[in-house]
Amino acid sequence: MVVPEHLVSNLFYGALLGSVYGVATMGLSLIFGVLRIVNVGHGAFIMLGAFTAFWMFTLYSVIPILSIPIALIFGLALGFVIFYSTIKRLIDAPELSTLLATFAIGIFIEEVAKFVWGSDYVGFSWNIGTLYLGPITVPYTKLLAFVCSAAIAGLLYIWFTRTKLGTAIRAVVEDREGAMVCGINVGRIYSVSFAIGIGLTVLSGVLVTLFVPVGINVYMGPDYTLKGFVIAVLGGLGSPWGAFIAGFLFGLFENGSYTILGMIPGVEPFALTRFVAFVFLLIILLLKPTGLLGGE
Amino acid sequence: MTLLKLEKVTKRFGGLTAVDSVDLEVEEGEAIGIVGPNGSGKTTLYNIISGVYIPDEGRVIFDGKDITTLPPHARTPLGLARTFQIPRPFGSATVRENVAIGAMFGRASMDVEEALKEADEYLKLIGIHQLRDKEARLLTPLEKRFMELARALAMRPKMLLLDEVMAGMHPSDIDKIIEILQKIRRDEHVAVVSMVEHLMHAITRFAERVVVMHQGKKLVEGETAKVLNDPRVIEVYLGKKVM
Amino acid sequence: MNLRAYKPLIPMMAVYAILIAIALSVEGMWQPVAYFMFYIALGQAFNIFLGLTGYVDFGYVAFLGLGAYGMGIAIQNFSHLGVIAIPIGIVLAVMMSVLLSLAVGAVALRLRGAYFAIATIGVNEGFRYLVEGVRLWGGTEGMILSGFMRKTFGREMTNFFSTFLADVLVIIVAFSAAVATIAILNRKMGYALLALREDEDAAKVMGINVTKYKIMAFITSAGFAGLIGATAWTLKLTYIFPEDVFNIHYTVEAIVIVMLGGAGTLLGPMIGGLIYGLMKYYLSVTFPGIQLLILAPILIAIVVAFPDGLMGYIKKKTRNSPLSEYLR
Repeated sequence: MVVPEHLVSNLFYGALLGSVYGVATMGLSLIFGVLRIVNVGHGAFIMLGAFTAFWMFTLYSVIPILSIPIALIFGLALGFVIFYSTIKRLIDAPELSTLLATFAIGIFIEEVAKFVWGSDYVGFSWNIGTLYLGPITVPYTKLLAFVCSAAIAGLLYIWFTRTKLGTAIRAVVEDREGAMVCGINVGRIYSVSFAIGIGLTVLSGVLVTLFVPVGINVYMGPDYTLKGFVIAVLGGLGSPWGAFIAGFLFGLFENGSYTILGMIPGVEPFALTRFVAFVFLLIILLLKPTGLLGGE
Repeated sequence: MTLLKLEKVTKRFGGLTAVDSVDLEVEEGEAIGIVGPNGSGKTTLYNIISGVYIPDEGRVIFDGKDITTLPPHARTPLGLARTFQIPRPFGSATVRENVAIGAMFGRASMDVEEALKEADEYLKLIGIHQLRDKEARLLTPLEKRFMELARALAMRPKMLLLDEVMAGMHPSDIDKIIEILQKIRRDEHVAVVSMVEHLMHAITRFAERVVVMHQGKKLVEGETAKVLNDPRVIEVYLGKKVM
Repeated sequence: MNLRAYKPLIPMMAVYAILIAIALSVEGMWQPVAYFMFYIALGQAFNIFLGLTGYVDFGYVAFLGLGAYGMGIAIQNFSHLGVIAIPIGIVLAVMMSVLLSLAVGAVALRLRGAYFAIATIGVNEGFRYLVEGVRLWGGTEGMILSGFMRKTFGREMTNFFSTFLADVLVIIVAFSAAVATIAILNRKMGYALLALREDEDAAKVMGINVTKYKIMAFITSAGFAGLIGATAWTLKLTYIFPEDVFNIHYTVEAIVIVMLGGAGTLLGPMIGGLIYGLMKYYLSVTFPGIQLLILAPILIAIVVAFPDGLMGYIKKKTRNSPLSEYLR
């Protein structure tokens, strides 16, 4: 290998980005686990988070880390609104309906965003220095994104395992009917889980801006939706923890593959990395639809 | 002649053995009742016979053929038909279309025109002809059960597997259903297997032979009247521990 | 053959006749009508799978894309044979989309619901990135055929292909897809699909080989998609770019059309395609750039409040009237 240093640096970077992918996919997985709904408009909520960070920074000089709670509250509120206006009526509808509805919601959000913000690429630069560690050079902002992702996943884990509501949500994921029999108000669990799922997703959009500071655009979402699907399936659809770990692995894979494929002449490493990812997706779906990291 | 033969059939789900080494033989034209409380393995047994599950061990032989691993759609042409405990109509199709689907894809294997005509006959026989153009999802639970019976009969099976088909029916309806079942047994030598949770009066009138299931195993098998007086059976139904 | 069962084609032929008459007699209406016909064809073809099976294929556009490439490859390689290259292209287009549908169907149709939908997105995106990644068929630069076509077929013939022949072929494809739909509905296959759409497990136990019928619908639908890609895209536009022909937006448009008109009905895709085409065409004139902003809430409203679509509603209202024979 000619460029091991390059590879090491890229893998490290991939691991940091992967943690953000993980947080970005936890919401998707949570919503599927509890409501059995695939949010096909997932990426639009990441886009909203990215714009939240952008506007808070450019208008009020609020650094992205402080935008995280703002994005979370915004996402929670939006989640409740969408749940009570649309999703609630579709809980027992055929999959066709929920797939189409979430897709349309995603498009609607994008188009409203375009109407308000236009379709130009925007960005901001928040610089707090760079870490030099042997072959690895990495801006502190990205390290911070990693720390935040890990902390969010950790807090969520504690919330899920230590609180009454969190335990109830896990019970519904395990067995809907069983939870109902145990006296859990499943309707409330649905709305809360959907809101938390959307909240997490919008929040993750803030973290994403630390990696693609100039890639903020109203149509940035679908790309993350597709990545989200690959990661969620890898981690076992419906398992937020699986999603977090799978996100991490996906980040490593994406950057590693990009680096290695870049050494082959005559191919587009960016496109081919995507291709390999989708081939993986199909193989996992066929061989072990519960996910590589999921149980039975 | 033996129509269905189960040989040491076993099905496990995780650590739970739902059906545990069950042997069963059903003769052509026989009327047999399978009785057992909820969770005794009856439904799993039906799913093994109709092909929804493939057993972990043992063999299923129908009409002389080993069908253990045959998919469900390959079993109906041989002459199997069943109903479901909770009726499963094709909701947006009409009642007539539902029954016609049975005639098209069951042993009868009719073409569309024939099947629709045949459906009318069975709807008249069961007595729900006036509902023929109604969407099946709009039926009451009881009407759905009548429709499922018509659908299963339209498949022209050699063996009819009924799942709680008479539960909750009016006594005069039960009389009518039993009469129809006796008629197809007599005229077409159809074997009728009827599964019930409780030892209701209807089953004692109808079945010649009863098999009592308990915790995945065959507890007792024999002539209906004898089985009903068997102390082990009485204990199961009084909720006491067995043996 | 029982001709009575084909009566619902009569109102369809009437609508087609009116559209064609307007296109031919009113100045400047040929292109708008061709635009509507594209959406009718798209809806009609997709309905055979989405409408009849209830499975959501988010990667449907890949079949149009492969059809487009099939025609492009034929024009590039067989144009020395003259106009024969066009029928070769049509055959190649169908073959390529049918082959892909066989491959995808054999594996992905084992999955259900959300898993199937996700897998199909994966197939479409994967295919697009394969074309771009290994620079297949021109990679991201695509195929630009206009100059080449002018050189080999002549300027006039090329213009005739892209401004008239392609549109006529799209109309024929749309109508053929409708005939295929009603033929399926009238056969055992139609009843098998109806059953599996409602309850796949019960359908199996009723003796229906669900895999066989799903794959048959999938292949038929994909074949028509290939024809649309070959005619409405390659022949009409004379260029192919992977980011266009694998664009998931076309899948969404097809879904909207089918749902608006009524999934699984014969006339629904025509009604849906016409309304959608009209709205998009005139909205893009009056409100350029915000068509999707208007269409998205309409789709949400249909899904939540009106899941049977327009045709489903009309059918329900006319159930016991003599009209019902003509409406399906």
